[in-house]
Amino acid sequence: VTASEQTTLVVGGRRSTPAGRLLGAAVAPAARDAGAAGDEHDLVTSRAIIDAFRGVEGQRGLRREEIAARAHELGAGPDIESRIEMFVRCGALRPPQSKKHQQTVLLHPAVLAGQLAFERLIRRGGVGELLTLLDATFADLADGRVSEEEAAAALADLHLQVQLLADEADRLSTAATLQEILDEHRGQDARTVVARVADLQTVVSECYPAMDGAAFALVTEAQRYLAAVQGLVDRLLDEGGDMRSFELLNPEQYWAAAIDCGRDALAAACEHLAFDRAPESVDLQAAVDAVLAHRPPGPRAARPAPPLADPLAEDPVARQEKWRAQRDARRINQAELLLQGADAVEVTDKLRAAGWPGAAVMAAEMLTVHRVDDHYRAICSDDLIVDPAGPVTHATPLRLEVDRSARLHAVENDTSAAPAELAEESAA
Amino acid sequence: VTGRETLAALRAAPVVPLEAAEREQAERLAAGAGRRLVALGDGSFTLGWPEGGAPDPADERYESRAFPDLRLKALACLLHVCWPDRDDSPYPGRAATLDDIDRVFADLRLDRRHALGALRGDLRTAGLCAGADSGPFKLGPAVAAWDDGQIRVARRAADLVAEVAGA
Repeated sequence: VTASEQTTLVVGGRRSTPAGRLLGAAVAPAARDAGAAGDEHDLVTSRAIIDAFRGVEGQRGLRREEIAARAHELGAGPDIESRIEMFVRCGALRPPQSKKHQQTVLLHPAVLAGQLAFERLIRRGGVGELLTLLDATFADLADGRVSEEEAAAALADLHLQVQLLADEADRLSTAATLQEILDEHRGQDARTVVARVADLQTVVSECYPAMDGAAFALVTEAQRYLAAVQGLVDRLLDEGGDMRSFELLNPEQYWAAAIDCGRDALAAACEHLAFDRAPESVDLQAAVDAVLAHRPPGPRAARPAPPLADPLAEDPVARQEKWRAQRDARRINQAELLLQGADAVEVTDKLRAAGWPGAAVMAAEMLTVHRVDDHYRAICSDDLIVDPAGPVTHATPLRLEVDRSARLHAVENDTSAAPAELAEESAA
Repeated sequence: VTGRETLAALRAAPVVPLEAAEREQAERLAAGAGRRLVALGDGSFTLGWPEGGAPDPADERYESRAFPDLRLKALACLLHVCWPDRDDSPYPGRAATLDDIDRVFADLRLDRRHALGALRGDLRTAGLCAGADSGPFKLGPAVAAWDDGQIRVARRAADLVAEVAGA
């Protein structure tokens, strides 16, 4: 690493960030210089250099200017040229074997592996690596892929790793500032570690009973780690509660703060949140069901035909009078039909033959005919004809009479003669 | 414009035009946020979900708006009309005139006024329908973001409309 590269990679200011401290410690095993490691900004640039090779065909490679242009578009920092130079010097970028004379370079696959490891380290701290190692050791033991010596070495590494994490949590809990704890405690996942260690102890006891003691010591250490992290959390909650920081409140304090705090304090709690639009997710299966259940509405009932003329246009009184005149004419016609031109007729037989209720209707018509024309008269006898088996069981003999001469005289004198005219009209 | 700003714009607006550099940044950030950048074919993009990652409307943990039956039927009619080749992906499909839409509504004897209102209102707001009020109507950008499972169900809905309309 050259002096200029050391300047670029930042030894001073940036190293004070949590990610810089993590990277500095992680790179130490492979570094020859204290300034070898950068921080998260340098990782962004190296990620851009790596991503610049996406879609590049096989052995074609990229020229340095192409890498710089692509990486710049992908968010690389202003130091992209020197970083490319450093990649070349480290062998991370190298010319194709078959075309060493060309100016293009290819990306070494180990670069991406290193990039992913450092990104994971920043995201999850050392706990991520510990969990990965725990899983791998568990799988190796369960599948019988490791010897007793290899298993013992793996357990020793795991024990040391858990011990270091527990010591670090203790250090933070007792000596670090609240801000330092906030920066460093990210990714602590002690409960998962304890659960995985317990699983590992079970499989170690089954595979190599002689190593049960070492596995149990690992469990004890994991529980110490859990207690240290719990102490860290308790301190965060206690001091965070005193600061009334929304990020650090326990549920009861959070509830009280949500009620008591002012608008600005409440807004500050959401500064780092990103809100999505509520997804307008349509339930397509519901659309299928809706179409399946679709029943077209039946034909609508036909509207009644509109009246030919406006019923209100006709005078209702005149209509009633016309109807009454027609009814009277019908009674006179009916009486004349019974009389058959005679002046008097016994209608009892016709009455009885009319059945029921025809007999009642006929009797009522005849008994009221004199109201239409008083020259007609229906006379009831005092007798009563009883015929239990007949259509009319009880009948009073009825006689219909007309005074024709008087009627003729009256018609001649009465020019209106409405009933008679109407009777003729109705007969026509 | 930074990648984060581009992603924020995509979250806020249904369709955002992006340059090549913005696209690559947004694609990476969207993937990191559990979303998927979907190209609409005209230099514009929208946000979708990775295959199988879309919130399930039946999942009670999500509050999703349930469309009434008439709107769902209107969407099925739109799919039927604007997606003639069901072996192809539904988006962009073909534009349909108001007469085309009216015809299928009439075949299903849907209430024309309310069904058209659904296309112009809720379905357009949801990005499922696009186009002017008087047509032509097209499938909206949200359709482009459907995954294979959703397309399969949508195909069934469109086919059913054809069956019911032809019955």
